[in-house]
Amino acid sequence: MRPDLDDVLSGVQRLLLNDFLPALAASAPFLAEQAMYANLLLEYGKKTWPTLHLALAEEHGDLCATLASAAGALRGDTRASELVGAIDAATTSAVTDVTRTSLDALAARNRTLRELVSRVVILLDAQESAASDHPQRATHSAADGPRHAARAATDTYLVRAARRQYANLQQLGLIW
Amino acid sequence: MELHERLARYLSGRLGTEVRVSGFARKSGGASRETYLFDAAWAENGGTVQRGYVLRRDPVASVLESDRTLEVNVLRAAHALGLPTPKVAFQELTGDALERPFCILERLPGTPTPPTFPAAYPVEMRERTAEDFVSILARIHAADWRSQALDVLDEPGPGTSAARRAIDLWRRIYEQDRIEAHPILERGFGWLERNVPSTDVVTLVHGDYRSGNYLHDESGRITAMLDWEMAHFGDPHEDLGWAAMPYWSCEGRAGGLEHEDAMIARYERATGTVVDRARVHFYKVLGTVKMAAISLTGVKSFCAARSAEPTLAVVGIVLGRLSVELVQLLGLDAGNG
Repeated sequence: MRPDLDDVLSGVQRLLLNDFLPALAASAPFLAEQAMYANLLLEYGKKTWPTLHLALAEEHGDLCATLASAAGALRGDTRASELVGAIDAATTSAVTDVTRTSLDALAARNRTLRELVSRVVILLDAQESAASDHPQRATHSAADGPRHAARAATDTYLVRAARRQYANLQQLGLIW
Repeated sequence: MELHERLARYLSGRLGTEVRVSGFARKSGGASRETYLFDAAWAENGGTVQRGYVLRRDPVASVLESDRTLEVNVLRAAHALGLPTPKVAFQELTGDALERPFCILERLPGTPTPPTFPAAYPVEMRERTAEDFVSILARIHAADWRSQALDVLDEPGPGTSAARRAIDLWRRIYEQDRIEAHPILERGFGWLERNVPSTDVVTLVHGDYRSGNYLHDESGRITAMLDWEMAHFGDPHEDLGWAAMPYWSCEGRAGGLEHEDAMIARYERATGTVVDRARVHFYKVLGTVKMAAISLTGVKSFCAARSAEPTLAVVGIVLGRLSVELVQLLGLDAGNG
């Protein structure tokens, strides 16, 4: 149905670029610059909106897989039992059908799952620090394997997440 | 009454004569303070005095909530020590005159650069800026700051406390201002806490020493070093790590000026010290999470509708670059092709 979102945002952009910017350029250069940034954000919105549901669904799948791997690795660790329980509870109710989920709800779920990834990272950091506080330990303990597996799962997620964020930034067109 | 009219009234009161303000214009950048340039003119000894000034007023919301008293005290000390910094003309800690606290600095000649020195500028100009950039940093680190009244700054002392203090500060700001979890930043903070370096030397650290925070003349000579609001006592490697961060780099040049190795070698020649590359790396990681925390402060202000400045939303999206750089600095991408 027209005007669609692209029509609406494009119209506001034309207003900013053709009317506001020339009017402000001489008298209020700071405001003119703000109008330019506002235009940049509208362009970003136009570029990201059509595939936002796909991006959120991709992130959702990645978060669920990462948390499942991390929880699997940490399941035998008593210090991680509360966190593993929280991951199980959150991933059991995982939302994967984007056609039946609003973007807001999916974004909120992703935020919850990302919070759990953060908690896994913090737990692994605490365990790693505790292990390095005991350098007299000559051999690796049995707990190192699962910890490394969980670390590998979260680290590979962090790499993928950073690349997704960077791809998103490229939509803004502000690369140096 | 318009802001420039209130400013003229304030200056007239302070100088005891009628002051005319002209050319009053808000300047872009200066993300932690509202920055305005203006000229002031008044009658004195039968003639007219005309001077250029910079008004830096606390914003409603910003990417960095810093201490105005600290900035002004450090600026005064830097000026007294002969460093190229603007002289503080006036300071007001209340909002009585201009609604919010502010300071007024004497304007120095020169042009600012973007956060990375423009690649299109002539090579000779870039080389002069690179030379001054390091020599001023060496002077900052060698200056006798303890001869100045800088009680607003605590000294961490030698050892690991300088680095620990920096980690704690930026983690606190991250925790306070994040509106959602950022696992990559948690990973960064965890790495920092397991790799805390020790230092024997504690100096004043500028805290935001980079391209974009100096003025230069047409030949490339630096005329002023600005933005001292994050100054503190700490490990001088912190400034080197911040200046060499990938975030400010362009075409492999730190700050768009010169390769990091050349910058460090130049610093070693200027100071007669040996730079610890591992510590520079540590402070690059710290700088990257610090920049992310600063960005999140801006995002929080934007999302909470405390500010409508679109640049605060832009810095949030630009976190994507910091995330990729942190992944690389931590070596997480090795084997994750």
